[in-house]
Amino acid sequence: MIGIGTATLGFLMMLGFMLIGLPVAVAMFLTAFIGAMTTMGWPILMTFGNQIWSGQNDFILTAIPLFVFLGEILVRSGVADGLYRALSDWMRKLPGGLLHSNIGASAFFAAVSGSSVATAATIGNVAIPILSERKYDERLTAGTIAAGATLGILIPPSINIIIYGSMTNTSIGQLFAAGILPGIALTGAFMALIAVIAVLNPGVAGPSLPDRPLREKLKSLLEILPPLLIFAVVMGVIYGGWATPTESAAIGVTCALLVALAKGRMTFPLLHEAMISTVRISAMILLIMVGAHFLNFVIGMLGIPQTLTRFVVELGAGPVQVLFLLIVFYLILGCFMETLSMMIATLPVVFPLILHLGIDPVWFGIFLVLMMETGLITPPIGMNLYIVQGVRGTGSIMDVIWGSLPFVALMLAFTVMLIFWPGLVTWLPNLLF
Amino acid sequence: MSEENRVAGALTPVARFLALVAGYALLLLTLTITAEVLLRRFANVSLQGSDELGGYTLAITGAFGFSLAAIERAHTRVEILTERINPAVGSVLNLLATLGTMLMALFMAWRGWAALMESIEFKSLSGTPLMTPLWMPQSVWVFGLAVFAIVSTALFLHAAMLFLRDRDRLNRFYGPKSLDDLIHEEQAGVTARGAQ
Amino acid sequence: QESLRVAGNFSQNTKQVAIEQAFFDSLGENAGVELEMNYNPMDVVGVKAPDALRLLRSGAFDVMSVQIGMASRDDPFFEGIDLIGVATDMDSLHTVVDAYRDAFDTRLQEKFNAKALTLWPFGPQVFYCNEPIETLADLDGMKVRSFTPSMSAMLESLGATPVTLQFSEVYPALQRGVVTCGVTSPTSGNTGNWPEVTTHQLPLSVSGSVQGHFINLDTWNSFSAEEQAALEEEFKSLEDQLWELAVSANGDAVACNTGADSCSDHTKFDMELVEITDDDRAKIKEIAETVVLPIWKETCNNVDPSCSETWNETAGAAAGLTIN
Ligand code: NA
Ligand code: NA
Repeated sequence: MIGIGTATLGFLMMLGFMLIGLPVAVAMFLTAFIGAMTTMGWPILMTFGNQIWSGQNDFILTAIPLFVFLGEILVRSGVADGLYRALSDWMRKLPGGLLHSNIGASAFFAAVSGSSVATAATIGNVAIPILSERKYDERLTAGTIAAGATLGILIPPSINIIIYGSMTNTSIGQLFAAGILPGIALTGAFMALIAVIAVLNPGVAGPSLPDRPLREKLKSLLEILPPLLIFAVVMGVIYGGWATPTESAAIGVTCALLVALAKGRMTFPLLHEAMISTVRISAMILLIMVGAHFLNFVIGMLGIPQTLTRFVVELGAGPVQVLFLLIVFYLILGCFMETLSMMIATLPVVFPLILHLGIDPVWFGIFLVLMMETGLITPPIGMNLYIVQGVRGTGSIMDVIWGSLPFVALMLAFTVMLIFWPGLVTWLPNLLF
Repeated sequence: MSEENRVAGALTPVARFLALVAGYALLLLTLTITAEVLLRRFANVSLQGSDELGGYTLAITGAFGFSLAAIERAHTRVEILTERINPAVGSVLNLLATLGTMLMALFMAWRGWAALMESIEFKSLSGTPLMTPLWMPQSVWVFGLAVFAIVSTALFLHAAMLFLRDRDRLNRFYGPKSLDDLIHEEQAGVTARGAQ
Repeated sequence: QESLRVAGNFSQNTKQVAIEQAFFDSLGENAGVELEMNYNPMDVVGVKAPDALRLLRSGAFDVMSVQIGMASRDDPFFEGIDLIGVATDMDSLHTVVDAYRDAFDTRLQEKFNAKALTLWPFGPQVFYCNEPIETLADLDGMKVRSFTPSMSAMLESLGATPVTLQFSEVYPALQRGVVTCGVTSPTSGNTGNWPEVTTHQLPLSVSGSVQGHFINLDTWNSFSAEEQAALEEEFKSLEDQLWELAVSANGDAVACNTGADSCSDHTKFDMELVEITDDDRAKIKEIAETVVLPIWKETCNNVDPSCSETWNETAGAAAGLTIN
């Protein structure tokens, strides 16, 4: 157990490593290494080979490269471009134009993906080249994708919610139902924010294009069919009891391959480039996960989450104050921990406090997911930021961070709103169960 | 067009080949899982273990992809400072970045090797219905980690040599990607996506 | 003052973890040994159950709460403490565990530089199904989640299709019908809300999911003989508490799962309770003898040829079973 001062020092050290330009994975790794060396010694470090293997040999995470692969195939076979062309016919007159389709597509995809990271990779792959081609503001493009993709763990299915449910003895069925309305509401709020930004600063959207005749617009709807079909199949195999969410990712890849074949676009060079790109992006993510895993291990061993939690508890406040404190707490913790580890590390201490205060566990599950979503797009450790940057492959990570900032503010406002209007979360599960 | 990094250029074919192997493993996994789901649904048969193979595929995808990501400078860096700093200091930071990557890669390969040796010593099995001897997937994984260690060592040595001789080139090859590189890649990307 | 790094059980297992945590908090005081504890449930620090023996051997952790079934990856001998079908109730399981204890501990000390301080079960591993069943024979043709070679062998000989799924995927898989049945303890199933997505509970125990607390041998030897004796006594009382929990809590969990009036300590659901028949007990025993034990013998003797012989003399003798 170490104090808040030492923990802060460690955090600043990691921040320093990142700022001097060490790769993010290396910065996390070195911080953890130094932390372990100085407090626990060699034996802890020596077993790390087994821990990397256990951390990376994980079927649930296999959904990540599979969803990246799916996106790569759709992008390269022109399906995604077609979809965006079609969407642009319909969305071009909205203030903010195609930025809305980033959010819409993310929400759409979130309903098939249990992970925000996979959503970011897929939508990023599909949307970024198209928006960049159309001269949309780079920051806001990246921000809409990073933020939109966080819907992946709010809209069911959601791996994080399954883990929360099993850890806290809360009904997963109710939790899934509880995520639906906030998911739709947050999607709407994201779109409203884009519209407001676009009205205040018309330059963020690409040059306005002339409206197209209705006949053409209807015809272009055909372009939406292939992805719609994949969506229907992936949804269908999960909700029809054919496959688990992770397995459905593979079914999605098979469908994408069939679509590319049907479009006559499937060639070996295309397949190979899609594979190489998939592996490069996945490896980038996985190396950060190696660093995060190691860092999380050391942080956990040093009892840092408990130290921080105890600090919050000892202030002795009522439910609303505690929730506001938890927002601040998770916002800070979300800056330097991977979100799933953050939840797992804090729940054992936070959850009893929540029950003690009489807060509804289903509601709190959604609150926590919202805090994790925020953590996914806050620097320096925000998985979605890095994935969007990895898919972009150009410019600076700072663009993604700046572009996500308005959405961080919106999500915090949304979380606060849920504190005063819990019915948005609890209405549907109470109706269904 | 900018001058090519010849060390990275020489290593690229190896790294791309490994990435392609991992890519085919993903394709094979896709087909296996699809078959598993269809067989389970229509023939009431389960292949048992597509989840286990998925885990191995993920571990190998990472290990085989680390090298390519390192060569193509895809491992994420925060560039707030390195972008603005003066080139002399920048070259030190870029050298440190290659050094850090090398140290992490060497540590991973070393400890990965130790984990493999334990699996061989204990004759460990996967503990799942497939009862896979653990050394099989782990040796493929360690091989990938070893290549990553070699590649990142080569990149560090090259960067160290350039640090002594030509810091300008060090910054171009091992700094954040320049506008030049980006335009170059953009064109390649458009070509890859075909006529539209 | 000795500083101990302790990896506890999974935080989902709230009752066991609460007992563990309280135990380690007061261990030093109760045993009269100067101890500084660093206790974390293993999932909190991201440690995976199959790595337990390696982490103990290297001294990364001083004490670990070990899921023996998973840790047996590194030595199938340990799995012998709790093979499928060998003990179908908690009393006979206790006898088998006690009979195997010395051989188990010797092996642990020789191969993994660790000592077993406790051996205890999570509780009976029972069936949760989302279709009506009356006996084991009804599993014929059903898809059932499996997670070990022995379990797959058992299911196959019952005519069921074993399906491998990660634990976190079992709930949605049961809900959507990807699988018809899952196997876990009444308490774990209750905690994981499985009764929400299943309708029939067959409380026939196929195994006990035996766990243990192991200590690194170097750490152990750093204590004086009196200290060791005091610590052993404390751990013995921990083991008794956890056995007691396995028996009482699982009884209550079955009552709660099936909506009985006696339900007091778990979430109440309304599953149908399936009566265990003598035929089913006999069937499980027979499968153990004809399928599970031969497979285990092959795996285990491959690592150590005397494996099945040792088992016959200890656990087998206690259970009245012999591997030929
Ligand atoms: Na989702
Ligand atoms: Na963050």
